[in-house]
Amino acid sequence: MVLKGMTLSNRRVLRASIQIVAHSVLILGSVLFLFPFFWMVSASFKTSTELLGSAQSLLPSRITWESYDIAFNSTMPLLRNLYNSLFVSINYTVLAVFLCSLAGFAFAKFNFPGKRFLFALMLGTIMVPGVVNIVPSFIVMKTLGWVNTYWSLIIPGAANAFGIFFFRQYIKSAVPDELLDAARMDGCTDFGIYWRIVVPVISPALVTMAIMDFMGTWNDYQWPLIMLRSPDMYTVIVAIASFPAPRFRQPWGAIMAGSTVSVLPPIVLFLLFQKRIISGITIGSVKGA
Amino acid sequence: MNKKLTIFVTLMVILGVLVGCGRPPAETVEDEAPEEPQPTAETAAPTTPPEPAEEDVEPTAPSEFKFSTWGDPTFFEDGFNRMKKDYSAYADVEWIFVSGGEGDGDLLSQLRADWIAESWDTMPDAAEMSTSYIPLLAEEGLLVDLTDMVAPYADDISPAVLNGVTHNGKVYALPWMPNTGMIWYNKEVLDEAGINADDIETWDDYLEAGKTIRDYEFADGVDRYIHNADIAWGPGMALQLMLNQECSSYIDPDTGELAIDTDPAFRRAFEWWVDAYEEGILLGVEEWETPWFDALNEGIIASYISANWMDQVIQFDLEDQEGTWRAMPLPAWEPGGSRAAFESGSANVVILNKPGADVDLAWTFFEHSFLNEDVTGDLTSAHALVPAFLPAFDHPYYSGPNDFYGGQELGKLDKEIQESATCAFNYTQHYYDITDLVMVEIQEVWARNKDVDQAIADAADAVRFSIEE
Amino acid sequence: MVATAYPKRKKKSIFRRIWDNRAAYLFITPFFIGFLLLDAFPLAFSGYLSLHKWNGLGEMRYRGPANYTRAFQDSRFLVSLKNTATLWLGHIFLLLALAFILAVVLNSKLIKGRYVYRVIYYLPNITAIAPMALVFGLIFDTHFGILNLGLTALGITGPPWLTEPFWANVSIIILNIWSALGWYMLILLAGLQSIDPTLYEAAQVDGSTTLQRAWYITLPGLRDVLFFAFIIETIGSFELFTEPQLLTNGGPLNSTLTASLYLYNSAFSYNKFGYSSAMSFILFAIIVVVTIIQARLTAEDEA
Repeated sequence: MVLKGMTLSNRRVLRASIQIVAHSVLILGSVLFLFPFFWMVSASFKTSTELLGSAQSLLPSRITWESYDIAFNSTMPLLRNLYNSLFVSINYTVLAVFLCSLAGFAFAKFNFPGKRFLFALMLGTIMVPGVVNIVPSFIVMKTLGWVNTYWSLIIPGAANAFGIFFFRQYIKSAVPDELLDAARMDGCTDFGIYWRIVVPVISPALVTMAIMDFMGTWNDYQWPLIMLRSPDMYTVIVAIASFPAPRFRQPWGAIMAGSTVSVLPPIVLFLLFQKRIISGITIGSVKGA
Repeated sequence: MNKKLTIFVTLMVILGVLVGCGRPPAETVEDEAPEEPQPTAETAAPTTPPEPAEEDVEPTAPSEFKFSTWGDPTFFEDGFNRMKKDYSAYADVEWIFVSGGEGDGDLLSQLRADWIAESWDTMPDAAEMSTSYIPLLAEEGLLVDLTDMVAPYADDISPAVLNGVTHNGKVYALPWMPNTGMIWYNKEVLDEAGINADDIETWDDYLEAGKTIRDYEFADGVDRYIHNADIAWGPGMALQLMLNQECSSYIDPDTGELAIDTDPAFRRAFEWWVDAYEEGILLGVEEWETPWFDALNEGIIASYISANWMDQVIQFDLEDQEGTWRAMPLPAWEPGGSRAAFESGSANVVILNKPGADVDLAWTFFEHSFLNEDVTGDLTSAHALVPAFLPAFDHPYYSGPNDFYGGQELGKLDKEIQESATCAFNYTQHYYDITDLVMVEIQEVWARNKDVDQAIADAADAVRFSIEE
Repeated sequence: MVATAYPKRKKKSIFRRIWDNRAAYLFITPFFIGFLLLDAFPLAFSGYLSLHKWNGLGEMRYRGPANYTRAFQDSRFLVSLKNTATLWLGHIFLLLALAFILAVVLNSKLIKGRYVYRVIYYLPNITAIAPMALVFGLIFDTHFGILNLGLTALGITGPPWLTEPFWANVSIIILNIWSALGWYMLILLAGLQSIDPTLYEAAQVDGSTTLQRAWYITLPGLRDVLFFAFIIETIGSFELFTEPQLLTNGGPLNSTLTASLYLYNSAFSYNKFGYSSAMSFILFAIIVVVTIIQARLTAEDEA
């Protein structure tokens, strides 16, 4: 940060104070942001009576695995459900990121007849309140024979307007036309341009979208509930909602335990992706060449 | 480096997909029913209900039975397994649990989707179902008519309970646990305040008792209340019980007309809740949340108007309540008036009316579990539930004292209420709509935005607008 | 054909242009297949439904435009539209401003451990909203929730977060921002990283202040992404459903009843699928109009 007329030591002080202020605010924000999680994890280790006890105890009086026991030893095959979620989410994410970035590239950098109309049409789909779609969508899935299969969770929605819109905006601003012209001059095919030029340039966006797609599909409840019909096909979120429980009572502890467990795989994957961002994806090396 | 990583990940995933798709998951739902014609875009819904198929029933024993509930399936599985032991023909039938999601609403959504898409292989064979959903599903032909099968047992179930699952004169569900209305109270708190529950015979008495508790200075200095006002929702269940005991409903079963603005019973119940709130005898927390459970635990809420299933809550959700609680029948509106009512909930089982439905299997299962003098009492008591089959009350669990409740004979109480009940609540498909609208109006009066007259008039207007044909 | 800034060339025939761009058509085909099956068909189905009365199971009865006229007389529907608008305006500017600030701060090399912060702030997006709403309900409870207990310790009487109309809306906004902030932060962060750093260097050399750089380089550089974020969040806002359903269930006194929630209840609780479809089309029309207005206001040049 350069400010005219400041001495070196003043600048250092300014820098340090900014950092202190920033960190304090960030840390305060972090505490607020993490608190519900902390509560969830803490609740998952509480005894069932403590769960219903006074809301004041932040931590369980002692760590108990009671809730985890219920969650894993019920008739719900939770491990299998976790596997289902993982399988579906990973495949959906890869497919979605690929298809959406490809289509986003098309809308961003190609000038084809009907583009504006098709783009508006695509955008229109986001604007439709999805509430009443469930029944007709089920009919379509049923016709295709995809009910109660992984297909119904992976294929529909992989190429989605929202992702395409995002990549279109991003590619428009991040990928200079000159780069593409140069590649074309070199005789690159359109797909080749996508694969060799665009993909590396937009990697932060790819990673970002991948994370979001993964989370979105991991946490989906409404759709899998209708599409999946046997416990060993359920994704983990549906499974948590379906824990056997005595009537009229929510199995709080098991839900918290299940939720804690269901959050772990995404977090682990997320941390791995974070490393990828850190390991030196720089736009600068490509742009302005 | 980035490129290589990308290629690598892509290859891994493609491999994963190929491997995963090559081997289908272990237990996929196989198509048991005969092939159905694929739905076209024009066919929105079958216009006539398919006949319960006699011709289509498989001559050989079925291999699986799909049951759906949003509650605890282990109870039903237990019943099914017991049935299999006594009926060797069904010994190899596999029990498959289809999750009904988190509540009746989710279950209904699934059934609806299955029905519209004619997806008979994903639709369960039988399900647990709320009384309040029976009118809609029966009307549209989703439920198998059980009238003839239930007929031999008609005297063994409370007529009011059976009426609740009767639609247009036919029985469409088998009640297995009526949600018998009762007030559960914390005897220790009432004793300390000098109240004898046996003296509470009318709702006026109950209100007075509420004032006593409000004014009493408890030894530990804590303020206590006779009941709670769920300020986020309203007295939904209690209101319905209060109407049912007077043989009232939102919609008159004979005329089909909205009754809330003409029925004095409705007004009386409505006003009771306003008075109770104004008198300060109600605590104001959201029910079924931790603070409410807390309050029950500490006896800050001294009683709760609900049904027989509250037993499970007190035993398993609250802490150290042994010996503290008792149950009493609902107070009457007039001295000597009716003290019997039921609330809606998941208290019935139904057979889904799909082509190829194995009604015999389903009915054998139901009959064996819920209408059997030897089995029913055993089965329901093993899960701390209460039967609708009156002979089952001879089982020691229901005919003797209940230690957890200070030796009170809860089974006897339940049976007495069931036997003295005469009317069923007329739910109709509008039940949830009407309830939502009425609850808002009660909250408006609680918030002092309107008076009772205005609220009832507004409720009636809103309901009429909403349910008009 | 990639669009360029070359001087005008001869007009190509439309067939030639289609052929030249065949790759582009191929690239967008997967979307449009899905579109036909899962958007067009349900939309047509919904449209057909909106002219009928249907309880989701039985026959459909034709009513013509009656559902639409009724919707405009339905006080619950009108209230829900008002609530939706209130919640939208009440949160979107705050959300995007916070996301922007967070993205800028966490992009700056001054902040060590910014990667850790990014993870932390994105975490709310990782959990399914259902258990989180449960937890929030607990935290926000008036008498026993930790929030009010904490405020009491500081000498402030906490408000009834979930049981009074005004505060219920505030609570929904808080939950909404909490869960969405990290998401928008990441998007803006990705956008920030796409801005050419040489622009900043050049500006620094020219002696600009930090604020000038932010105004003249960062914001314009982010314009496309911000535009995207604003539109998406607006649309999402108009369809806000899960938070009000799980946290307050539309209450108290229907003060957090959003349009989507009322639509959903009308169909799935009150068995009025035709009516629900009609209302959803009205909502759709509103969303389209608002989006078009937004697009005009932030008019961008076409490539």
